[in-house]
Amino acid sequence: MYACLYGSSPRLAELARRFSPLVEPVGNEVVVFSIAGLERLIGDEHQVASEISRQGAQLGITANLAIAANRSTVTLAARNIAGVTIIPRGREAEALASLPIAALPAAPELVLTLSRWGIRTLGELAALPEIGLVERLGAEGSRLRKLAIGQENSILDIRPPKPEYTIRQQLNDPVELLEPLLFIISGQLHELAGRVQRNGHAANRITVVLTLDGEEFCRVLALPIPMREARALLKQVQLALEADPPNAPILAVQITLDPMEPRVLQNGLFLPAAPEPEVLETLLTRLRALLGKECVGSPVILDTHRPDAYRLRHCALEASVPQNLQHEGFRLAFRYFRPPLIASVTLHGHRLRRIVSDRVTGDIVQAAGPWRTSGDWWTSRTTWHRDEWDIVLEDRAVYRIYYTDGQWFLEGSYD
Amino acid sequence: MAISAQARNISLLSIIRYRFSEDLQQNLSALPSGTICEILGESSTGRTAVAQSTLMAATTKGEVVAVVDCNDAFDPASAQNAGVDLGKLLWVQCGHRLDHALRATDMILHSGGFGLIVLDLCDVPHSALQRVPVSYWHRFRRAVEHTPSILLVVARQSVARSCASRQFALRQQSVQWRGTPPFQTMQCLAMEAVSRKPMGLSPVRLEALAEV
Repeated sequence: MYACLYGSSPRLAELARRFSPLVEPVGNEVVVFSIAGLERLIGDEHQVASEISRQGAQLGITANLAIAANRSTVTLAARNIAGVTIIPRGREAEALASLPIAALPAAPELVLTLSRWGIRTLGELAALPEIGLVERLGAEGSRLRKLAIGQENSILDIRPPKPEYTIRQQLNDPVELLEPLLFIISGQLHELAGRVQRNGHAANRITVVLTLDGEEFCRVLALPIPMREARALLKQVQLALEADPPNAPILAVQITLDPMEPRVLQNGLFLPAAPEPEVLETLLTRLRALLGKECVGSPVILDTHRPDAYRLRHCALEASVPQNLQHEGFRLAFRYFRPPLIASVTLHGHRLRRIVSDRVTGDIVQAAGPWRTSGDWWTSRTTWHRDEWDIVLEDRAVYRIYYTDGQWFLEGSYD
Repeated sequence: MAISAQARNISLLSIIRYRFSEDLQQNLSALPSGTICEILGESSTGRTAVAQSTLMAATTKGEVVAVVDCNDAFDPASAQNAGVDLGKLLWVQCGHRLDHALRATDMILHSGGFGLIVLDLCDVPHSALQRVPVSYWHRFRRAVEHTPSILLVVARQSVARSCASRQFALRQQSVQWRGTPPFQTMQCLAMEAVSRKPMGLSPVRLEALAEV
């Protein structure tokens, strides 16, 4: 047996959960729940309805209540019949017969079609032959007829409430130092991580709310990969608080973890070792705290002809299956001076004779160039153009220099 | 009509190759795991090329690698041209700070899981390197030993000293050009590589030539 509550109170689900763990909220106004087994505890359907009404009155809920043998019948009855409705098993069609055709959960065009046929109530729809309905309306016609006679069997869509992983702790004495604060946060994170693991979840965001004297200090740490180890989570919080500590004594600590499905990873037997994702994230966070956010990552070469065009992206370093090594020898590499060194070049006619800069000075014994290059001329702000030379100095070091906007630069060396 | 700078660089890089002998190739590609190795040499002696070749070998094996770049000199385009899988590369730019480079290396070594860590100290003044306490290198050696990782230090002169298990010194022999002035392009670089460590083995003395 099922019961259905229809009303505008936000506490309908709370009332339903007093009687059953199998509760399906349908939108904001309808809650369907199973009352199977309550006859031993409370009594027959009338006594169950009386008890639901009594407890609903205690909660201040005003709603329609219906009890019937199937889910769709009980929903239709609760939505369209005021007060308490108890439909005995086998008498669903009779109970629903007087309801208007518009009460059916169907497309408006279909309801309009039925109205044009002269069908006004569910009883009239139930009287139509099923084969004829299917021939004219398809499977939807059969479904509507089963709804009208109370024989549509659907099951409850049970979804457990989304768990909340939040712990708030009011401190007896204000905490000023980071170390005791981390000790408190560690306990909270271990508790939360345990709950997250027990529910088969992982956390993809940590929200730290510290109540200071008269204000709130909030830090939201978005984790690139879902984590569930308390130590890894604590390290992320520690590094974030060390980089940007609160500036007043702390009166209360609240930690919230946002749950999500954990990563599923199939490792191979022959894959080489790679950093554990949690360890890698901690490493990257520590490196960024030391060097800056823009200084750590995997390089991605940009699709442009501009020299030294790259960006660093967030690392997702994973090992892969080994491939065959191609012995093609060593290729010449280039080393950049970042930023390029301002240089002074002495010319003899059109030949380069000597270069002087902060780090590299010497006579030029060989030069090749210039190669005139330019790009981004279609944008006014990033236009670039320059003349390049490859030069060899007397110590046999090979460099690349360029001339742009009246100034010489030493870009780097071939190595 | 403007010539693309990147296109020219790539064409230069593709025609200039070092032709090490198979012995050195095998020595370099078979650096022992759990050790500190050093590639030593002055500017334009092929240190970076050898390091990038080692990175290529590691990423081809599917390993994750890291470059700790003390002076922000690493060129991703060169590395990609050398065959390095940039998706498996962690590039750490240390902003010309030797202390940051050493601390970053320490963090990476202790996090574990990296097949090869290249510590690029090529442009660091020798006087600054001499002031690095030897205990750093002992700490690095202890961190890397008994792991599948290799710490490859690239510098002008030996910095890890007794903590290094392998040392290769590179010297340039000549730079050759083709074409007639003023329409010349760099054609080849002649190199010489010497194995300094281990001492018990006969040194591997090889010629490195560029080809057209």
